[in-house]
Amino acid sequence: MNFINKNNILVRFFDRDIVRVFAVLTVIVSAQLFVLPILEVHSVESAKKTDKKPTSKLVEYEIFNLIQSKSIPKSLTGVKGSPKRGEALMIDPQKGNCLQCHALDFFHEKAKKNPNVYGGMGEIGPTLDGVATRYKESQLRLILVNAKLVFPETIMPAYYRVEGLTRVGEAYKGEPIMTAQEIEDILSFLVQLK
Amino acid sequence: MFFNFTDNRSDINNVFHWIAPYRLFGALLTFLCGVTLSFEPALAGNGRDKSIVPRDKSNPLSNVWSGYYYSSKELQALQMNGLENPGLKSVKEGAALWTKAVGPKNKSCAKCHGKAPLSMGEAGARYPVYHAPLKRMINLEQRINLCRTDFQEAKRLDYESDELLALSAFVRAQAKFRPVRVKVDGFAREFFEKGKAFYYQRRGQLDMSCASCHETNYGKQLRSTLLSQGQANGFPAYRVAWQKLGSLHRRFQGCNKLVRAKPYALGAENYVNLELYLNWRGNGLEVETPAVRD
Repeated sequence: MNFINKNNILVRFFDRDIVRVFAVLTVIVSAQLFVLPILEVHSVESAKKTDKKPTSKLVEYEIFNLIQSKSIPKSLTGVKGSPKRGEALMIDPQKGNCLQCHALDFFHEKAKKNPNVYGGMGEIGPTLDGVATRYKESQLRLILVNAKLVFPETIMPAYYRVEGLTRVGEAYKGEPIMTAQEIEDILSFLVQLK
Repeated sequence: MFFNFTDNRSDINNVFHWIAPYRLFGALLTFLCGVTLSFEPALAGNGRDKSIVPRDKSNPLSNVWSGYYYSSKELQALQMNGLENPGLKSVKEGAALWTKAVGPKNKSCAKCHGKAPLSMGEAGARYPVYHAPLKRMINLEQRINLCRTDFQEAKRLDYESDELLALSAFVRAQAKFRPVRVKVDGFAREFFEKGKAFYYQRRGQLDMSCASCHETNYGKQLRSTLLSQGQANGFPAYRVAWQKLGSLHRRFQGCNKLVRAKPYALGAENYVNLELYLNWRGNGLEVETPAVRD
């Protein structure tokens, strides 16, 4: 469709941009003229019909998970944990680091005063508010020790485990993330969250 | 209402009835135009502000997003700024190295490859590729080093050295805004499967795989950072945490250290296989080198 005019200048009839504009226009116009009538989109009555949603007569209900039966009933050390130390371990990035994945209202208030330490909470795990009402102490102990025994696919690390791990870094080889007493400390803090 | 088009008694006034005999023709025309328009790159997603559909059905992601989508507005603006993007410093250094003659034969990259925008346009988008003499996959950095030792007869560059970073960033930047399209069939299949196994392998004291964060939990807040899909299309990228441009393998090492695992060496075969697998997950995303990430 291109040709060269008297002044030896190439005249392009179907420039790519023009074709694009026409393609868009054709789609819009032909959709309006040909396709929409077939689909009866313009019909007010058919639109009304589809608006009606079937209403259910059933009462709304919530589904709860079954209570996990696995647990560690006995304390790991026999020494009662300290909630104050547990709280410090929860925000320590080298230790519990719970806030990385879990949120907790208890820390939200502290974050207003000291955002560098308490600010920013993860949304990967469930919130820890009321965790003690959802699980017994013995169940929480197992979840801290090795959460994969309860939830096999979980991202949560096992905090008291050394075997069955792949390619652990030299500095961490043969050591659990937290000691037995530190687990008890965190547990004593979590049990308060009712 | 003055005009009631749905009035059955006045069909002659209804515009749709005039073209009723040509409906099928029109539908066909619309379909053809739609097919034509689907090739229009401006309408397709690029992974930055509109997700793309995975190119392969076996891709576990339903929507593919570039890491750009998960960065802050400031970093997004910085990446798209052709003057202030801090990664461009390395790309400019790479442009100088491209024409610099090295080795006893006094050969530069440009001596064989000519102008980089013409010869390197697709290279950045399709690496890693299978290298028959070594019988394994090689990435862009290793290809550059092979060129240096085999053809320029110069000293090989250290992985993560400023020179190699500059050259690899320059070469990959030639494919900027082109879709990533690594091939995983044929010889590459074996290494693709290895990369996939590596991706799903839990490792380190924290016992996490790549998938734990970047497949099951992307888009969620990990304390103050937003988890991305872990796509490789922006690398070599400028990271604020590094305050410089860095390679994908450096990022891999960082990830491994975060889960307290022993990292592999830069350029290790495991990492190249993972690079292949990651690029396959992001097939169709545009190359964004040098991207800016936090």
